[in-house]
Order: sequence, then structure tokens, then C-alpha cells
Amino acid sequence: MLAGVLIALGAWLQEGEDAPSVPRLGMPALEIGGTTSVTGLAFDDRGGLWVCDPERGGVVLHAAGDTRRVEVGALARISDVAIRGESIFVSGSDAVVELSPSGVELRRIGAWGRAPGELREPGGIAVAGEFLYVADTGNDRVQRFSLAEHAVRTCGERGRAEGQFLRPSDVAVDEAGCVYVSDSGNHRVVKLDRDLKFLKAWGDFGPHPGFFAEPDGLAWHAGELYVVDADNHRVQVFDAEGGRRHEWGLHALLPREGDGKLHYPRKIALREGLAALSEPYEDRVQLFRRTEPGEEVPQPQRFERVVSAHFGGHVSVAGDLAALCEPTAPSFVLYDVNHALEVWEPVLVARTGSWGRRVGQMLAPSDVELDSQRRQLWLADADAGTLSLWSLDHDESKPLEFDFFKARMVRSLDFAALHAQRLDDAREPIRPNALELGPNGSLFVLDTLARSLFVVAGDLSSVRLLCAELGPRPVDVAWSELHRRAWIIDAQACHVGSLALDDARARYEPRFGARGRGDGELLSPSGLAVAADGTLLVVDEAAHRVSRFDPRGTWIGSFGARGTGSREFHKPRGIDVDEQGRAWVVDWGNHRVQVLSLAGEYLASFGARAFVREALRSK
Amino acid sequence: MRARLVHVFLLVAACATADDRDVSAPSDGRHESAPVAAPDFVSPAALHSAAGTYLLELQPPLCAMTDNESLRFEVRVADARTRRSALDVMLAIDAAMPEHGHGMNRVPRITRLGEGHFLVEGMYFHMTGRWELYFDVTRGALTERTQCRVEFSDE
Amino acid sequence: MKLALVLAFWTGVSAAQEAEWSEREWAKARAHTPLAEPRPNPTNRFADDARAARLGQRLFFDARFSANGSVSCASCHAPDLGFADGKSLSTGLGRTTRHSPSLWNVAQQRWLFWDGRADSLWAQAVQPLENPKEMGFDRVSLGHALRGDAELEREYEELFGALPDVTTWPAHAAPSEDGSELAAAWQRMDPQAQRAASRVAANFGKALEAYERRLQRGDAPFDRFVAGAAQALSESARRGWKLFAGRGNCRSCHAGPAFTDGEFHNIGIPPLAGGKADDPARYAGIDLVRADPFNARGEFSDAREDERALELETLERSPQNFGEYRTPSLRNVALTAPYMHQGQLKTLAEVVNFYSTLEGATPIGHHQEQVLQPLKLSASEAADLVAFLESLTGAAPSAALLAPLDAHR
Repeated sequence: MLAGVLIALGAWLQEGEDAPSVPRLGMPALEIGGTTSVTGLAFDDRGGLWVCDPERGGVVLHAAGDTRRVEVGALARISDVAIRGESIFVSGSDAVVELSPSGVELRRIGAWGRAPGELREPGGIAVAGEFLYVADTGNDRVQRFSLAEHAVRTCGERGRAEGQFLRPSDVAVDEAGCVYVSDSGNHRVVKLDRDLKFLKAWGDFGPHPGFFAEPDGLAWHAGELYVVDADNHRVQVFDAEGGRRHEWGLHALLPREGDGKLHYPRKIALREGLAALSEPYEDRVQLFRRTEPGEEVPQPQRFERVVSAHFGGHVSVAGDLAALCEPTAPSFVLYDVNHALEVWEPVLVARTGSWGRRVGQMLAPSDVELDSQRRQLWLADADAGTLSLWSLDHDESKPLEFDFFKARMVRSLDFAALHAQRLDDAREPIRPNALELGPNGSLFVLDTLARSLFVVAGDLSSVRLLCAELGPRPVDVAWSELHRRAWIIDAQACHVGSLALDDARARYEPRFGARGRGDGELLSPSGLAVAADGTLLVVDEAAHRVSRFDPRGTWIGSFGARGTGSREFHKPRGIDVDEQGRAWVVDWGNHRVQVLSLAGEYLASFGARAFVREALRSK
Repeated sequence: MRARLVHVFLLVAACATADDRDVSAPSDGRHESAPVAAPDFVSPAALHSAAGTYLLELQPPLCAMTDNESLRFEVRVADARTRRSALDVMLAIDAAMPEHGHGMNRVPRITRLGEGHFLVEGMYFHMTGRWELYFDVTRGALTERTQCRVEFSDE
Repeated sequence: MKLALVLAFWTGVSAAQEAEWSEREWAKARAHTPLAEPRPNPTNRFADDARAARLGQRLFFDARFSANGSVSCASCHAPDLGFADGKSLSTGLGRTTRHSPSLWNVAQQRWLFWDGRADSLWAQAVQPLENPKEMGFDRVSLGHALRGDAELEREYEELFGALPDVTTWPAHAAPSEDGSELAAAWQRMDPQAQRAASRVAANFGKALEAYERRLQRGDAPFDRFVAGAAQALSESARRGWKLFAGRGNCRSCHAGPAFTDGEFHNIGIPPLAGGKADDPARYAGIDLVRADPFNARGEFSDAREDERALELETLERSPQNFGEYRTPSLRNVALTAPYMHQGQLKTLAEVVNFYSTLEGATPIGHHQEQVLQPLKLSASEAADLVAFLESLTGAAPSAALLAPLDAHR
């Protein structure tokens, strides 16, 4: 390893990057819009670009003079596509299917599960020779399926040591058969040999050259590895040993800005002279070409010093405080919502967190839940596998000001250690994806991949499994004090289900919901909240709106439309309802939170600084 | 340059009572009957952990700390209820300057000398100013923090 | 006329009052003076040995320990150029990628090099010796050279014992991963000979350290003013101190009598050649110092279990270390232009302007607010700060320390 560091230092000291005259990818060439929530993409032999359409369940070909669509029937949440000859391989939530050009399913590989050969939320795939490689994201591993025979080789388990991964999202294969893996949660690229044995890894968390923040798509092309560095809004190019060659990508600063600027790019496809990048949150694909002589790939300018908030997918409001997490910072933030200023607007009073693996540090906070009365909050970090309890030093009688020392960690629960001690009644260490304060100061903890709901004591001293048979993809949980039941929103089944807590093991029942864009239907539900009167509010990320239902499932109304103005959303995520009956919606794609009445009247928004105001200014 | 320790804020949060089904308790209930615990040593200057489970004592005490120097001290951890050495616990120490947005760039060497008894070496505060100091006691899957705010000043 | 005089009197008085220090500012100033003797370095048992210092002084100015016979330590650490070299990027045999740090008060630093990849002055000295862009020499050639100079051989052996038998050694060799001829020759040496050659290099460094520890230069106008010499500091410098200690908050990193915390920070100085800041700096330095065979834990250290060795163990690399450079001492800073790790800023005025405006600063991370805020100094405030920095130039020690020793050809 020292050798590697010395070589890297030596290489730097030798100043050995490419001379600018080498043509390099990165000049914006073309944009394909309307590709809603596009995930994976691939070029075929004729230069046509196949693009995943997870919303409508298919893959779409964009080629000169030929735009074709192939339906992929029984496969949810399509994540990637790979072309080999005439075959189209498509990965989805629990399998990879091979289709003929007309869409006939030739074979199906995998089923939902954790055993070898099973898959959970696979990300990227690659086909090389007689093998299909799958980044089995939900199982923290890579699998190699033999296409000629029924054989599978798996590599990896959850962790960060050699041979371990954390949410690997894509794979690429070079001519020698070596396999590259984008180890997203560990912010590194891992290189394996053809038998999936660990060779090396490079990268660390951050924005610097050679560092990554959520590396996602990978592609091997013309002797180089292209890595989509999603949270850094760029592509980095390396040689086979991790030596840096090139990078491009400017961070989009205005909403929906394209023109070569990127906003969370995810997957990449390459062919001679052209790179295609998918941006699911912008519903578009951007293509980049090589530089001509005399051209240089645009470099980032100095960004504004004041940046927009990067809220995560949840918000918690209680009493005079609102809490959100910022997974990419990482941190959680606190706003005071009950002060006597002229114009009501939540005021930021604390931001806490630093990236790292020490106790009290964070990797990627997934949810935060506030108990304003007791002046405490809980923070879930699914990547770190921890749930921590913090106390808040917030005194309403004191003048309103930002306080660096406001939040103090009290306790932290390590789910991997808990599982090793067999104290969690679970099949695998709990990944806390969502939290909700329940009765008696206890906490509901939702594990999406495990399809399970747990109850944790408020002081983190005990954990109990409530139900391990939720729907296919439960993403949020809300507690109704009125009806004494927990509600769960399922993003794949597009339904709302509930559990009554009368006995030790509660039974989950789907209650209502249908997939669609019509009134009362749900397309990609992402958040759930219960108002004091027991009505349910569901945030729909793909429909850019909030819908309200009574507990029987009768649709009451919806508000919101796609956009950047007030009462408009772009890919909204979480929601909470406060004691005053106001709905707080994390308008994720607009980098802000909007506060509205339950009927949808705009009250306030906060979080965005440059992002949305620029758009409003330029309108 | 050695700065004196100006202020030590010992922040004692509201104590939460531990649930009977303590996830962190040794599974065989050893700590109720073990004869190995040291005699009661806890002084009035002991630090309370944030949820009240533990008492911590530093020797030399907190006020002897300086910045810009490698620090060496012992920590004894006791169960607050029994006031005897806490069994089956591990100690980790960290520190940060929240106003500067950075932590301690060291991980002190911690040697376990006995039950609830630790030697800490190589603790290093590299700047004057306001630090948060964290003592994290872990038993099983549960870690409880004892936090102090310390301020080093060279004026 | 009378009115003008009155006005002049008033402005004069208020300017003087402006320059007066409060109780608190005096207390802060006292924390920066006097410059202390360097801390003992037990990893080098010759660190305070006068004979070692003499030998070190000889070696420091001796250009024979270079591939072309023209580069010595003094080439990039010239006494009359602030023990630096006045260039942006220091140049030995070739041009390097960093600015030469000054050796004035260098023994006050805990870590050496801009990235801290050496933990002692003696460990540091081996690297320029063997760096192909600096002296381009090697430890085996060093052994031959010492053996070939009777005077040096005698002084070496008086301190360190007998030189090893270099007749069995190749002509040149040094450990390296670059697959060069030097590295191949090193591979062919037997481990005992390798160790003996490395020990010669370590001793070479230890003698140099003994000399460099004497390059103390305090007793600046600032020190004298704080000690009671009321005329030692100009009004401008006095106002400059108030900024330094107050709004400028310079003391958080430029702390203590050496005006450095000895640690590493990223202040967003852009690379000299423009483009991306891709120098890992401390991020690489931490791994390098831990792996350095000449570090406090290594076999050539005279205190392998002590505080410095412990420090190596407790170091933890984090992604935040990327782009962090060692805080230079501000003592004698007026003598060591240009400034920063690649000499990017040519004058103290440019340095102060950088902190004042943060113009051209490299963004440290696009999702993070920067910790440094531009100071927004007025022109006169900037001048005052420069005047203060200039008041940190100390009295030079004896001239005998700053030149090659006579004695051998």
C-alpha cells in the first residue's frame, strides 16, 4: 500500500496528466428529455442508445430514425440495461431478464432473496463473454452468473474491508476480464480479478480529484474506466490501476439546467467519441462528445459561497422545532419554527455532524425524528447501521441564534453488534431507513430491504421485531395516535398498509392504493404522514404532488404540480404534519422544504438559496 | 505553547432510566454477583454520562489538561447505580471543535487496565479554542456518551 | 493654521490611541513570546550535541553529496535568503513541485515538509539527499563519500562509531519503487549492508538536525516591545497586532511563540499552475510518515517507544486531510518570500490580500461552507498587518553559524 501511495505521490510530483491536446470527452453534445426517472443505459452495436424507463416498465431505444420501445413486463424498478448481440438484458428489483429484440423473455435470472443466485435491488449489470455480472446492491455483493451453464459465483458482504462492499451500484469488465465495482457507500472503486478475487481499491469520500461521493455508474471503454461520481456531479476517468486521467462535469446551479451541467448523474454508456449520462432526477440523458482541437472541457467556476440545503428524504416537526437530515453533508439540521419575527420563516439554529466512522459521526443519515417536549431527537444512519439519541439544548426564552453546541449525542445503538449478539430477532443486521415516534416514547424503525418494522425503546435499550412481512418496498412509516395503528407506504406496490399493535406480533395489511397518475392513485410514493384527525398524506415523487386520504382510503384531494414555484414541487420526498396542522414537504429536487396548509395553501419555504431564487428571478 | 484550560462545562443531560431488558447487559447477568469489581472510588468530581448509566473519573482530572501537548491520563468507569467498576465495557475518546467544523486528528491509544479501568495516551488538542470532549463507553451494542466542553486559552 | 494644528493633534492622538493595546491584547501577546528553546528530541541522541552540530554544519554546506557535485542543503536553504531560496518552486538538480520551507526555528515544528511526511529533522534530511530532483544522491554513495574524506570520516566516527565497510558495497544504491538502476543495485545488497547504509543516512540526518536545531531566530521587535521596549514597534505594527489577535483570528493557527500550531490546514490556496488542486498533501503525508523507516518507531530511532512514536500510532488519516498543508511559522516571515506551499503569493501584501478577499481560493468542497471568511480589510488595515508581520524578524544569530565551516577543502 505504501508503494501505491509513493507511486501516487511520485506521479503527482512528476506532473503526469494528459497534455491538453489529447481529445477528451466532456463537451456537451445533445440532450434527450422526457426520459422520466431514467436509470441505466447502454449503446448497442449500431450506435443506438437504449435507456431504462422504470416508471412505465420498459426500455426505449433512441437511434437515428428509429425510436423503439420494448416492454419489460414482470420486472419492477428497472435499474439497468445491457446489450449483447441481439439480446437485451434488463435488471430490476429482484431479477435480471434476457429479452429478444421484440421483447420476448428468453430467460429470467435470480429471484428476491439473499442466497447465492438471488438478488435484492440489483443496480448495474455488465455482460462479458459468457458471464453476466450483477452489482447486487441490496445484498452488498457482486455476483457473476454463467450464461452458458447454471453457475453463479458471489463475492462480498457488507463492510469496508477487502472483499466487502456497501451498496455497490455498478460493475464494468475490461478486456482482461477484471471486474470493477463502484462501491457507493464506501466511496471507492474496487477491482476484482475474473474470479472475483480482490485486487485493489482506490478512492475516499470527498470532492477532491480521485475521491468520490456516491460513485455510481461504471463503464470500461478504450482502455479506461469511467466512473460516474454522482454526488460530485461529475465523471472521473481512470486507467486500469486507478491512475487519474481526466474528469468532466459542472454542477448545475439552476433548476433543470442542462447544457452540459449535471445534477446527480447516475449511469453512463460509452461508444466511440460519445458518452451518455443519465440523470434520473432531471428526467433526462445528456450526451457528451470529444473536444475538437483548440477546445477544452469546461472547468468549474467559483461557486457561490452560500449554497442550497441538500435535505434528505424526511422531515420531523414537533413543538417549536423542525429537524431534517442532510445525507450528503452529512449532518442533521434544526430549525426553530415558533419565534416572533415579522415574517414567519423557520430559522436555522443548529447543524450537527461530520463524516466518519467514529461514534457520533455519520456516514449518510437516513432519517431524523424529533421529540420536542423532551428536547431530544433520534438519528438513523442506514449506512453506518446505527441509531443514535441526541439531546437538544434549546431554550425558547433565549434569543434566537445559531448554536454550534446545541445538540449532544447521548447514546448510540450499533445494529451490527446487536445482531451479532442475537438481540434483534432479525435475519440480518437492521438497516434503519425510516423512523417514527410511536406510543410510550418508543420508536418505529423501518428496514426497507428486510421488509420489516421494529420497535425500539426510546432510550435505545431494547429492540423488538414487530413484523417481517411488509410489502415489497416499504419506505416510510407514520403513527396514528387516534387509531392506534402504524401506517406504512409501499413504493413498489403503491399502496398504504397498516399494522395494529394489539398483540406482540402485529400483522400487516395492505389497505388502499392503486398505481397510476389519476386522482387518488400513486405513482412513486416516497413519504407518509398522519394528521391529527387521522387523515393520511402521501407524497408522490413522480407525480410531484401530495395526496390526502381518509383512513378508509377514500381520496380527499391533492395539491402540487411539477415546477419550482410556490405550491409546485420537483421530486418531493418526505412529509410531516405539525401540531398546527401544517404540512411540511421536503421538496427534494428543489433543495427546499415547503410548508403548506392541509388544503395546499402555500405558507413558507426554506432551504434553497441560489437554486430556486435564481429560477424565480429568471422567469 | 501550553494553554491553560479555562472553562470546563460538564453537561449533564436529563437522565433516562435504562429499560429492564437492557440490550447491553452481559447475557449471564454476571455484574450482579461478580466479586471482581473494585471498591467504591467514585468521587464527587466524577463525570456523569449523558443518560446517567455511568460515572467517569479522570486521573489526572480534566482541569489539568493543556493543548498542544500529548496527554496521558487514566479513566475509571463505574456503573452509576452500584458505584462499582463497570464490567464488560470499552472506552473510546474523541474530541471536536464544532465552530471550526473539524475533529481531533488523533485517535488516542486506549489500554484496558482492568474492568472499567483504562489508560489513555496520545490525546492531543492541537488548537486553542472551544472543544467538545467525548468519552464513549460501550457495552455490547449500546454506547453511552459523556461529554464535556473544554476551552483552551493562552491569554 | 490653528485649526489645522488642532485637527492634526486630534488625529495624531486618535491614531496613537488606535494603536494602543487593551489588557486582553497584551495577554494574548505575552502568549507569543519569548521564543522557547526547541523541545528535546529523544529519537536523536545527538540532537543537542555540539560536535554533531559542527559536523552537521559541515555537511549542510557540502555540495559533494549530490549527483552533479553542485547541490547542497544550502542550495535551497540559503542563509541569506531566509534559509529558503526565494523561488516559488525550489530547484536542485531539477525543479521540484513545492516551495522550500525556511529553516529558521525549524526545530519548533513537530512535522517536517509541507505534508508532514517526516516526523523529525533527521528523518527529513534523508529525503532531499535521495530525491532525484533535489540532490540526486543515495545513501550508499554517501557512505563512500564519507569514507573518502578523512576529516569527515574522523568526525563521523567520533560521534557514531566506525563507518561500515563500504568496499563490499556497490557504487550507488538506494531503496526505491521506480525500477531504476539504483533500486536494482539496492535489491542486490544483502540486508546487513542495506541496514548499515541506512544507518549512515540516519546519522547523516542526525548531525544535520543538531545543526538545524541551532537555527533559532527570535528576539524580534515584537518580542522586545512586549518585554517593555515601548519604541520597538511602530504604530502601524501595533495596530497590525490588534488585527492579528482580533478580527483576523490569525492566532488560531499561527499560535504560540513560534507562531505556528505545527498542524495542517487547507486554506484553499490554488495550485501555482492553475487547474485542479490535486495535491493530496497531508492525506498522503500521514501514510508516508507512518511508513517511513526513519520515523520515531523505526530501528534508527533512539527512542522507539516514546511520545513521538506514540504520536505516529495515534495519527488517523481522514478524507478531510486532502489538501492540508503545514502551518508555517510567521517568525522572520519577511525574509522568506514567496509564500505558501508553491510560493504562489509573492509578497506579504499578496498574502494579506488573499486572506482579505479569498480571491481565487480553491473551493474546498461544493457542499460545504468554507471555514475561512474573507476578512475584508481596508488598505490601511492590510498595511498594518504587513507591518506587524515584518516586526517578527528576529536578530540573526552569530554569523559563524550561517556559513560553511572552514577546515577542509
